[in-house]
Amino acid sequence: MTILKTIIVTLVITVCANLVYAQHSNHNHHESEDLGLQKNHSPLSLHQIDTELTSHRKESLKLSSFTGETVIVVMFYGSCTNVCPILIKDAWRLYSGLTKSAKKNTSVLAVSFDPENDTPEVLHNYAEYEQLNLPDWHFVTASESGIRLLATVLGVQYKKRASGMYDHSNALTIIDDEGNISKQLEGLNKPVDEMVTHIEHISHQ
Amino acid sequence: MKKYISLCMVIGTMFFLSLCSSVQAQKNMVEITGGSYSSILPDTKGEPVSVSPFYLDKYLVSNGDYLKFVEENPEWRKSLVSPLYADKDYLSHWKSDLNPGDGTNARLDQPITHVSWFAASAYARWSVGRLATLHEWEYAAQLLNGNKNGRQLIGNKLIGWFSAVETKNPSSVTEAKIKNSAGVEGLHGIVLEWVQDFNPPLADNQTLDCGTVGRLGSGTDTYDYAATIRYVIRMNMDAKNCTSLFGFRVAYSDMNSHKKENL
Repeated sequence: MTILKTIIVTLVITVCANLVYAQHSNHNHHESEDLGLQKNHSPLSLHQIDTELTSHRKESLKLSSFTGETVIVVMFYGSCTNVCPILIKDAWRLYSGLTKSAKKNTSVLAVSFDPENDTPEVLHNYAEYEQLNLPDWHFVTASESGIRLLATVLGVQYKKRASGMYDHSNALTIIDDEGNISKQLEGLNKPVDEMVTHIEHISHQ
Repeated sequence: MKKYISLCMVIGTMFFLSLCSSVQAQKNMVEITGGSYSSILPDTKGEPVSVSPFYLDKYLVSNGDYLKFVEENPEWRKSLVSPLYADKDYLSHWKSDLNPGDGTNARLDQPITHVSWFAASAYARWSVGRLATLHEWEYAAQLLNGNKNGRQLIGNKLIGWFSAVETKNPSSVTEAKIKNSAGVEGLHGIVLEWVQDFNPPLADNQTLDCGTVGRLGSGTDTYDYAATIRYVIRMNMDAKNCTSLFGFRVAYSDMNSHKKENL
């Protein structure tokens, strides 16, 4: 009887473990992507987006990792040779225009449209090449649906061509310390003074 | 002893059911073989757009399907949904969180509407799939394999359909009048469908404003006219918008996309 009991208990545990595992593997996409019931101060906060980002340093990040900081978001892709370098340079002009104290509280998030080619290694090389492998700069990739979600929230339009290249709109977005979209600059190679002033203003409140 | 056996049976059944749930979600998908089509918004002017093979649900997501989704995902119930992801009209035709009720278009077998792009995307992920891309959807919509006049045939059907449509009361998702050659139903109905890139960036030389629609007149067929209207409506949507016009269906990259799409 004891042996039987042991066998049954073992069986039950195995089946339960399997069940938990099956549920987990079936639904683990929720954990990272679910637009969960988080208690946010602001109902429109982007910190509620649970998309997992992986940086060029292979760090795992979420938008909520930047709670309490100002974030400059720019979307680009590595094999874009004409427009994107200008866009990244725009982000640099904005960042480098900040005072030391504002910089201290500001991160730059450069999100790639191209999860297939822009692996963390490729993004690392990109950051090195652009001389932007700086502690507060994060070149990140995510799942295809995660990237689409983020772009849609930011109002950034993009589509992949059959050639593998992307058509995309160009924008720098400032997200405040609570995750709200605070200001946006559309276009390429535009003056960034107003954006600089804006970040200085929100980071000294 | 009996107790243990029945416990084992219960747990065994639960295990079995949990395995079935993911199979269930894909029961209605059909393969869309790859190919190319003439898009009114091509990547390069005058060139056909090529589309890789993918899978698409035969039917639109129904109120009944969507009810299961909100039961399992409380954050998508109408009283709890984040304003980041849906405007105030989200599920406005439903009686309450878990009860579609008997209002207009709320019947369990009718297509779900009043859902935002965000909600449609979240449902697709929950179904271990994704939304179709705009090109995938448009390619599937005009598909009538082996029939060179496919577009014209659909165009003609559309004319007949437009003149007899009952706009106030969409039929059940399984009773659509027009299907493509792969067996996908209801692509041309009164419910438009969310796609991944519903609002794609346009090159400088491309526009799809009302003037363009007006000029389409000669050289294009009925099908292009309907398609153009579809593009214009889609591009005027905001991802948060929930209207009686928009529903969706789920697409999949491959049969086992849920294993690969590690989100």
